[in-house]
Amino acid sequence: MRWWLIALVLLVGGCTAETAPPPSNGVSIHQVVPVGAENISTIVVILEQNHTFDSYFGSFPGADGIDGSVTFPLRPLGEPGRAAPFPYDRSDDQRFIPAPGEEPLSNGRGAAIRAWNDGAMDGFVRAQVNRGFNGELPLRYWDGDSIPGIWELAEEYVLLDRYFSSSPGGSLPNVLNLLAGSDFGVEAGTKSALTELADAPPTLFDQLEAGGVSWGYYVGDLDEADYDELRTRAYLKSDETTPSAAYWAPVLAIERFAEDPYRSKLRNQSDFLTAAADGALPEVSYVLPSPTDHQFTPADVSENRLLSLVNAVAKGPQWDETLIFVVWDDWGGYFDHVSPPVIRGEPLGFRVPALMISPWVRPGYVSSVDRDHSSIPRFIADVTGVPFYQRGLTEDAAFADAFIERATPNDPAVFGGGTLGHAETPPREARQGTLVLYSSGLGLAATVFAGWWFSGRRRSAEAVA
Amino acid sequence: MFRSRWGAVLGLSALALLAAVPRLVSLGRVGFNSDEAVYAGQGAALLGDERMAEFFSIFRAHPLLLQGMIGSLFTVTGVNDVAARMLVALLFGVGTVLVTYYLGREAVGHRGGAVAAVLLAVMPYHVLVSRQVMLDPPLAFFASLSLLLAIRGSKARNERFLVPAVTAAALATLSKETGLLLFPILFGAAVVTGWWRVVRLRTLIVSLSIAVLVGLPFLLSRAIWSAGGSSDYILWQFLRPPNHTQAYLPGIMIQYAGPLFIAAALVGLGRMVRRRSTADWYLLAFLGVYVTFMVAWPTKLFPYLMLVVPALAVAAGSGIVWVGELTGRLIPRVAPPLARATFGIGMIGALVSGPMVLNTGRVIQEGPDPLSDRRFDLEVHEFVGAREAAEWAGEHTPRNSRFLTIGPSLGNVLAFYGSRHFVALSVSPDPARRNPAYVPVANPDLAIRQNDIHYAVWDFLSANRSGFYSRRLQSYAAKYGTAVAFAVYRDVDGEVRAVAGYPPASAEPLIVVFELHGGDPIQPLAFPPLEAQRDEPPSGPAA
Repeated sequence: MRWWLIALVLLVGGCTAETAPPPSNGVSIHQVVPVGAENISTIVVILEQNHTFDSYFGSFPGADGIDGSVTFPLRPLGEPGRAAPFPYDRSDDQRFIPAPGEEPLSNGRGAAIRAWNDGAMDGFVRAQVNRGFNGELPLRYWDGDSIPGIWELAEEYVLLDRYFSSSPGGSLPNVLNLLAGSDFGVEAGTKSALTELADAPPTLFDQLEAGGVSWGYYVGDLDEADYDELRTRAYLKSDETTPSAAYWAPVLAIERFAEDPYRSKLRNQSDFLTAAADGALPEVSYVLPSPTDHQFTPADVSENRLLSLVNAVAKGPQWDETLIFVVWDDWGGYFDHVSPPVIRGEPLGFRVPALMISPWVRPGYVSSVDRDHSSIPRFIADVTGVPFYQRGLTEDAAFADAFIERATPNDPAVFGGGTLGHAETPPREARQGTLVLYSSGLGLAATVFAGWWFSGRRRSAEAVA
Repeated sequence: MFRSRWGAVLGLSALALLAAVPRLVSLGRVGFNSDEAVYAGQGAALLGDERMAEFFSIFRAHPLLLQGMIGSLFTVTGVNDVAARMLVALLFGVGTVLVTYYLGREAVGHRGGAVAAVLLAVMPYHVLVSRQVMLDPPLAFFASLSLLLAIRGSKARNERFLVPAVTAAALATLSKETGLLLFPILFGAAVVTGWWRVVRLRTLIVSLSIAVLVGLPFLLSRAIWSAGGSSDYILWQFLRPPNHTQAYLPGIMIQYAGPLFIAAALVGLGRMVRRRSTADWYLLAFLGVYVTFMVAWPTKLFPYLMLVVPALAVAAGSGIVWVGELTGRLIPRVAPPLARATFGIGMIGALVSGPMVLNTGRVIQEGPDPLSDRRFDLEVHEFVGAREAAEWAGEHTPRNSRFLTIGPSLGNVLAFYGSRHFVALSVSPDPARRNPAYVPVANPDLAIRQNDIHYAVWDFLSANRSGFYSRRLQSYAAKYGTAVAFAVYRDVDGEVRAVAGYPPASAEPLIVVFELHGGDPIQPLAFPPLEAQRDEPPSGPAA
């Protein structure tokens, strides 16, 4: 590993002065912060899991999604013809739930390469069946009925429909790209990969720390005991079960993050909610919710948690300065119809859902610029002004088209619910009609009264005369 | 009493001033209570305010005369609570005092009328209710006016008074539907006193035509645009459980008018029963019908007595004049009889009204609470801090956020000042046991998890009313709370203050807003339990 040198320099730099570590390639990569984004001083990245773009937003209006013409061959099942994606129905879960301890689908690199099939994007069924998984499940998709709150977010803010996972592999390489702009050569989430991460090269958080930028990494509902257990790295022994959090939030596998000043910045999601309410969010927050959007966490349960995190920011005093990225780490084994770009001879991972939520983004906009997980740490470095040395995979890290120049921030809104309803109030026509009726009734009554009154006076006058 | 036109002007002006001052002082010190918020919100909605229309249906239980007036006022002043209260206080509060003078004059002469009007002008109860945007002040004003016109017509045997008397009764009904009972009272008394003999068919038809024209818009608008809603309200009105015992309304009178007033009114009523003049017939019929109605009707609310206090004030005026004249006779004959009688009336009148003046001062400064040991009269409580909490919500919470409250009272204030929706724990899922205007929340826990409820608001008034729901609300705050976002409290010096966070331990919390998170519970929020710092309220569901 050539990273040991950087780690050493970083360590020395961190110990001796408030200076950033020297670059790996000698050049700090920066792009111009786009108009609109200059108002952003708090960035939140929420990491969800295991969905492709099409599986969540394939039927979203205006996005590059699927229609009735998108089908996938069933040949590997020994059946003729092709199968079309089918909508989520909770009652189907019973058919798809795997045995305890097993995954419902493969999201590994091998399956992804098979599904990709040199860009033909027709191997999703085959990739799973060949590995002994269910051949129907990859073609399942969700829509505005099954994940209404997440769709509302997309309708209100920015949906990225060409946001690719950085690696065809599973969570670990993709999350590494999200927090470091590189997978450090990791292709899959294994114990050996976690072992090698112990002295991982600089991540975004190292740069933020060195640059004096506040940050926090909020990991699900981990408590102090969990952190201690992770710190001992006992799970790396072959007979121990590796906690999922180590793959989904790999800073937990990096040894220096077990010590201050890093350790004190690893918190759980209740700390995030409290900080959001108190206006105490750091400049950069990464959040791994619990429960995450993993397969067979009921969609509404993980959706409610995600929305509660977004709502917490919307309700808090920092909303006007905040940008939230919500991204899904890898494809999860589900289908997508867009072949990912090939960078340096390797395909990126499949498209994953990604949202940008902020009072400064273009409302209801679908952005179709190629980006991947590595774009986000580069963007954060640009906004916070810290050096960043990973070039990333896709070109754009400015997200310029997602922002809009405006004088004042958009008002915050909260999302979810919709089950309670509101008391019925009459439409404008009813109110106007009622006003006309009252006015007419009283006006007519006054006219009759006046007529009667003056006719009586006239009669009295005549009688006197 | 007034022996010249200028004397009358001066006397009536003094009376109006006496009535106006306590009704106008510090009108905006505390914001609207629940009912005021609803009526003012309906008025604004009726006159085209789309923001209010989202929260306040114009089709609730009552007709819309006052609401329409308030809405029209808002088109000039903007939505303004003080302006709305001024309208009610001046037009109907002071107006009723002046009408009461004439009513008393018809019944017991100038002195009785003056005493009755002064009593009403300084009565804590009347001052309190006529400072608020409630339907009862206009109802009482038009009902008193109708009585006055009918009595004058009957006494003069002049049919011309019938049309304005019936018009006033119709306007009373358009203020609040209980005014409908005025019609049998008027026509019944007209028969007993023989007035009906001079009324021609043409006049009767004109009278009834005007009554129909005034009342029809209420019925027609409901029939066209809210037929289903109307049946819901009828069901609710007839099936709603009693909310107070029979002792409630007499208790209100004792506390907010005073035992001496009650005694004087009883004496006066005794005199009226013995005398049975034309005016007495009307007043006795009026009081008999409405008191019977209030006893029989299961729902008893604080402002209901507004309708009968002018007639009671006339009775009290009659009693005070009689006792005063008797007292005057005991005075040594160093002065002429008229002076001695006036002195006696003044002495007794001062005895009755003195405590009223003192209590009215307290009501103006502190609201109704100091005069009462009861905990159920929420309709006219001063909702200290509610306006401030609602305005905070309007400025600091997302536009579509929803609040969980103990009862709907605070919710209405939130909607009016903060434009925020709410659900209340005390709203029953049973349609026969809830006001149809409110959405029930059958499972608040689930609604919070589903991000349907974003804040919980505890308030001292609702907590006083229902300790049960107060504790329930706090259990949700503890389970899903992330922070105390805002609070209004009374500090040890009695000052009301607001804070972004939990109030100091030494303070009396009045309103506390908890921020809630959706999804599964994460970590309990620790905060000291909130108890209303007054009498221990009865547990169990609120009405």
